[in-house]
Amino acid sequence: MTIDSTLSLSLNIKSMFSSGQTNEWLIGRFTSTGERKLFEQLYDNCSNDLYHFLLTLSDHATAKDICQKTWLKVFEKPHLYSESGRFLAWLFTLARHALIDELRKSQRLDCNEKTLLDLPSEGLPNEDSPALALADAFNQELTALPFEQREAFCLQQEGFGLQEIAKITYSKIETVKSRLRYAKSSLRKNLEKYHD
Amino acid sequence: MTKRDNDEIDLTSLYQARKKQYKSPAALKRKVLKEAMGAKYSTRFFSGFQQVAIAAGTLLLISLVAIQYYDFNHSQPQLTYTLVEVHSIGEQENNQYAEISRKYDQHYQQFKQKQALLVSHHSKSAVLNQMEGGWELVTCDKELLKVSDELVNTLKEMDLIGDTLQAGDNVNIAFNRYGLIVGIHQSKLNKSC
Repeated sequence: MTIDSTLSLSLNIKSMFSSGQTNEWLIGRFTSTGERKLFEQLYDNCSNDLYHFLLTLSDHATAKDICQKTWLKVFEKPHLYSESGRFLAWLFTLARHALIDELRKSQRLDCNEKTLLDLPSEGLPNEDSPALALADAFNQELTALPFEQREAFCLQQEGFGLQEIAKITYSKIETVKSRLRYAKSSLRKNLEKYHD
Repeated sequence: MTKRDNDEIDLTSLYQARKKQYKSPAALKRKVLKEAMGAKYSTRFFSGFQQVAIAAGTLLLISLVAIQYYDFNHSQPQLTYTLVEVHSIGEQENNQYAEISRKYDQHYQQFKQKQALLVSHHSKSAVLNQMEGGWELVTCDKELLKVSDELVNTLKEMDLIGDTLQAGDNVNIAFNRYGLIVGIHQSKLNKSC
């Protein structure tokens, strides 16, 4: 079993135990009943993952905006969720669609923004602590990655397998593998000095 | 665990640590729920409004039909007079119509026969030799044709003979299918036999 699939499985199990019900069950029930508490439970289960993913690929304002749009779409059209896949994969696909549209509108898709500059000051590291310096460097290096590599890396860290990442990003598995390899290699190379 | 595995774990740990720092704002949840509920109620309102509108429309339609039906059944009958003139064929008139029809057919047949008589069937070139006491015409086949004054006058009345003909003129004699003369005209080609 690979590290990717182990990570994915552990996150799924964690999700099941933390909420009591799987996200797939919750969206299914919400589709049929429209109960607000089911939607809230789904939101609580996935909102942090989604927000962080979007924040890593854009900035605070865009991430909030896209999160809101995505969750409203889930609320209004839960029947669009296909039961064959994971709810989180569908959610991320919706969000990515909206994000790409937004970035295209504002012509920011190709530019490699350093979103960290937009992050609040309390997130910045203490120069004296090596761990925080490493975290700070990681933040900087992650946001400096090309969009596709950053996206693939984030999705993998969120527990998606290669096939799911390929589906979410409309890419070939080989392309995803390549992006992940470059992303990790770049991060390792640039973080090496902080690690030691 | 290899060094590579350690690196992988490091990246994941760093990512998770970063994630903990940037959680979804609580205000966002409130905003999403507020908007979602607002959309739900407005959808319900419009859905309810649509239902009310459809019901009101149906009621109005039924009322209109009912009123018309009531008027039709309870309104006072209005007398109107219309002059009716009937044209039909009775037995006596039928005989008269049959007679008219028979005569018409008869005249029509006569007309067709006369028309057939006057239709030119073939012609011959000839020279007009004499015009006094009946016409004499000599055809190119050396046939001598004598035409009586009565026939000449009849043909002239029917404009079937040229007015300007003189003795010695080359003419075309038109015959019908029975060989009767139905026209004598000056030859346009002015050719002689």
